[in-house]
Parts: sequence; C-alpha cells; structure tokens
Amino acid sequence: MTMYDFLFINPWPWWLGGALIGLFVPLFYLTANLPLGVSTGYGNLCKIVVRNTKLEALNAKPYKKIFTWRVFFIIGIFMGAAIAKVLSGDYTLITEMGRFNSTVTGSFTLSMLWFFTGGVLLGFGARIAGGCPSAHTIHGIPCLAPSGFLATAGFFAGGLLVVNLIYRILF
Amino acid sequence: MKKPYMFLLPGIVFGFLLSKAGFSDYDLFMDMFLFTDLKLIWTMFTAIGVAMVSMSIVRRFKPRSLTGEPVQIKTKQLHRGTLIGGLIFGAGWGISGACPGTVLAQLGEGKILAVFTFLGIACGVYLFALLYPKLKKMGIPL
Repeated sequence: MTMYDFLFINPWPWWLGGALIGLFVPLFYLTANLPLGVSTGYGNLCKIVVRNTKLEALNAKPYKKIFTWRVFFIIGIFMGAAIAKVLSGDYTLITEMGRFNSTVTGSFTLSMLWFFTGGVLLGFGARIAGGCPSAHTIHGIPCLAPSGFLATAGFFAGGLLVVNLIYRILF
Repeated sequence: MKKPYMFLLPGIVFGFLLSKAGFSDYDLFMDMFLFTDLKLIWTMFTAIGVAMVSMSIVRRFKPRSLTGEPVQIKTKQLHRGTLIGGLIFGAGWGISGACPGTVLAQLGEGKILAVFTFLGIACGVYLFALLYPKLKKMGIPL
C-alpha cells in the first residue's frame, strides 16, 4: 500500500482520524479563537429561510447576522467530505444508507420519513442540550466542561437504547 | 481569521477528517452502538485524549490566537436541559446514524437520504425556537 492509498483511497485507521480530529480543537482556538461547534449554525440556516422571524431564540446573539462563520464552516464540511470522496475515486450518488435499507425498510418514502424524524430529534435535542457531539464531546470533555460529560452521557445512552431497540428487538 | 468566508477552510479540513475517519458511515455508528465494531469508539477516545492533552498545554502556556487576542476557552453552560437534550439527541443519532456535523459529510459524499436528516435538523432547531418561550419557563436557556 502506497502512502497515497493510505491517506486518500482507504478509510483511515482509528488512531489517525482520532489524532487529527483531536488536534482540530486547539488549532481552531489558535487560528480563530473559537470553540469547535456545528449545531448552532443550523439556526443561521433557519434564518436564511425565515429571515424576519420574531422568535426570540432565532434572534439571540449568534443570529444577529445570518452569514456568520458558522454558515461557511457548515458549507466547508460538506465540501471537505466531497473532496475526500472524490479523491478516494468512487464518488457516486448513493440512495441507500448502509444496512438500513436491507434491514428496516427498502421503501424510499419511508426512509425519507425515518431520517427526517431522526433529524428533528437531533436538531431539537441539540438545542436543548446546548450543543452536539462536536461542541460537547470533542470540545467539551477535553476542556473539562461538566456539561460536556453530561451531554455526552445523554448522547450515548439515547443512541444505545434506540439502536439496540431497532436492530436487536424490532428488526 | 476575521472574515466569515475564511471559515470555509477549517470547514473543509473538518469535513475531510470526519469523512476519512469514518464518522459519515451509518453502519459504523450502528456497529458502535451494537458493540459489533468499535472503530468509532476508539477514534473518539483518541480524539478526546489528543484534544485533552493539547488543550491542557494551551491552558498552561496561554498563547495568543492568530486573531491577536489571547486564547480564551469557552465551554457550554451546564443546565437542566443538558442531560435530557442529550438523550433526545441520542435517540435522533440512533435513528439517523448521523449528527449535525457528520450529516454534512454524508451529504458531501453524495448520500441522498442525508438530505432528509439535514432538513430534519433544521426543522428541529426551528421547533426549539417555536417552543422556546415555554422551555425558558422550564429553566432551559438558549
């Protein structure tokens, strides 16, 4: 296996992905002086659609301006993953989501509803918890924030419960 | 970094890392929660460990950021919603096999169903904003 294959074709081993994602946290502070976080930016995306909303939560400090760094960070994540996939040489549009469609349902309509429902819980839960795994787990725990430990316990407890319910009991 | 558009670059780096590390892989998340393949757990532990050590160095030496200000570590407040919100989020994580960051990586990789997870997240955030007057009374801050 050449170095190129190792870095760009194949999925990375856990230690490489883990180490570089871990280093992202201090590097984001050293370059931008900001804590890593993604989910707040979805509020900015909401405001692109409902620009003149009077809702207090969408007029909080991060949303005074719509196109803040968070929007560009979100677009960047999309682009970065696209670049990774193109470099690996097998970029195609994929309609299945792993084992989901062979186990739970093959229907595209039901899949749409399923993933949309999951998304609503993600967005709603993240705003209640004050963040998602990037802010709470990858950033919060290493910064020794009590909220990071507790939110992460919630993320994993919820995920464990639901995934085992889906794949070990229901389907 | 001062201009918002400059954040495309760290975004691209983060998206590239998420994708190569396997965080955009639905099956790997299911395997993690079913304990059938723990790759993502090891990746996460490594990330947390590396970030913890490097952030303790940052805390110790208090360097300046490229923005010119001294690095200021900002963590989230602990409140009544932290655990319950985490549990709701976890349920969504289990259903969709994604989170608000990794769904963007799934989209970038061309996974069509991620579009609906993505739209769901935006709607969930809007739902929170709609219910916020009530949630605020229950002691859940923004």
